Amino acid sequence: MDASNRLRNVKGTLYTWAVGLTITGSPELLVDGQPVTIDGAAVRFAVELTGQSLVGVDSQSEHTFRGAVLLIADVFNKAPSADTGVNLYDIDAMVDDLRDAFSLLSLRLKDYTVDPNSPTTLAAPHVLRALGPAQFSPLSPVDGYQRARVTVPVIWDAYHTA
Amino acid sequence: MLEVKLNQAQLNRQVRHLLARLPGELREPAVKKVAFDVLHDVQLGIYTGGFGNPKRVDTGRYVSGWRLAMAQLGVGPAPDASLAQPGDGRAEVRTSDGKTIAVLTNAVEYGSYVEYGTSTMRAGNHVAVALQRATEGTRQVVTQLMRSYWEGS
Repeated sequence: MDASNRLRNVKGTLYTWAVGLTITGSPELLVDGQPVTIDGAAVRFAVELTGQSLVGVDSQSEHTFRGAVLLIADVFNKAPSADTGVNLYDIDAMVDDLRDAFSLLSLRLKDYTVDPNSPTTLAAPHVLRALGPAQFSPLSPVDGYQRARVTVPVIWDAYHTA
Repeated sequence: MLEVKLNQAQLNRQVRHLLARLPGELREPAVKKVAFDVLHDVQLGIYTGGFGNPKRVDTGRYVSGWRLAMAQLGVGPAPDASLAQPGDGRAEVRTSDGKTIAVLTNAVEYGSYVEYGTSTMRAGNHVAVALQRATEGTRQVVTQLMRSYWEGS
């Protein structure tokens, strides 16, 4: 299987970039499945495959697909209580940083399958790109956290070879 | 409660242009078909863990709520919604000011936890993925409808 067609590599490239972002308030940066462990601010990223479509055929054994994923950031910030005050704009500042970063996203796809600790950038220019501006939606508070969600569709070209 | 609104303004520009060019009598069937596809993918994701989403079935009430909404659309065979309670799921398609909107509702109280997760539980993202898949697939639906309309006229 071509490295550009592996969702594992797409997730690795996006997650590594996402947890390296600089976000106002220095929230805990997590990836899908990791629980929030601190009593302050956190962002949890998820990558969901939403589809693949054929965009070209080079020969009987070489196809190019356009892959699409949805990059999601769930933002958590401690909710105010009777004892503790919270700046209600803090979560907005985090959301703004994420919207900005997501909307400009353009990353060369990396291969994590050989050595996950030392991924190599693929030789052919497979680029993960944001498709349009990021969307933002506030969510209802849950278990002591204010919440918001930032999403952006991301596309890339993947090779399929026999 | 989770509520999903599908309208042509929210879909991408290319799809919006295609929908706007549809003859009036085809807009409602097109929106219903897209809404049906969204609900189909949502319930499949919840029930089977398809599309990479986590399988989330305990009592089956939440997934049945979405199926109840599917049945109300009147598109395709009615799915098994026997585990839903009255009012759990609802689908409404309406047209005003030249815009056709589908409102899909699941009133099961823990629905937002299944979809968005919590600080300690992974989000299901069943609706988010289904909506994105629909956005990417709607162009095909609209194109097929236009073709069949012109061929039949």
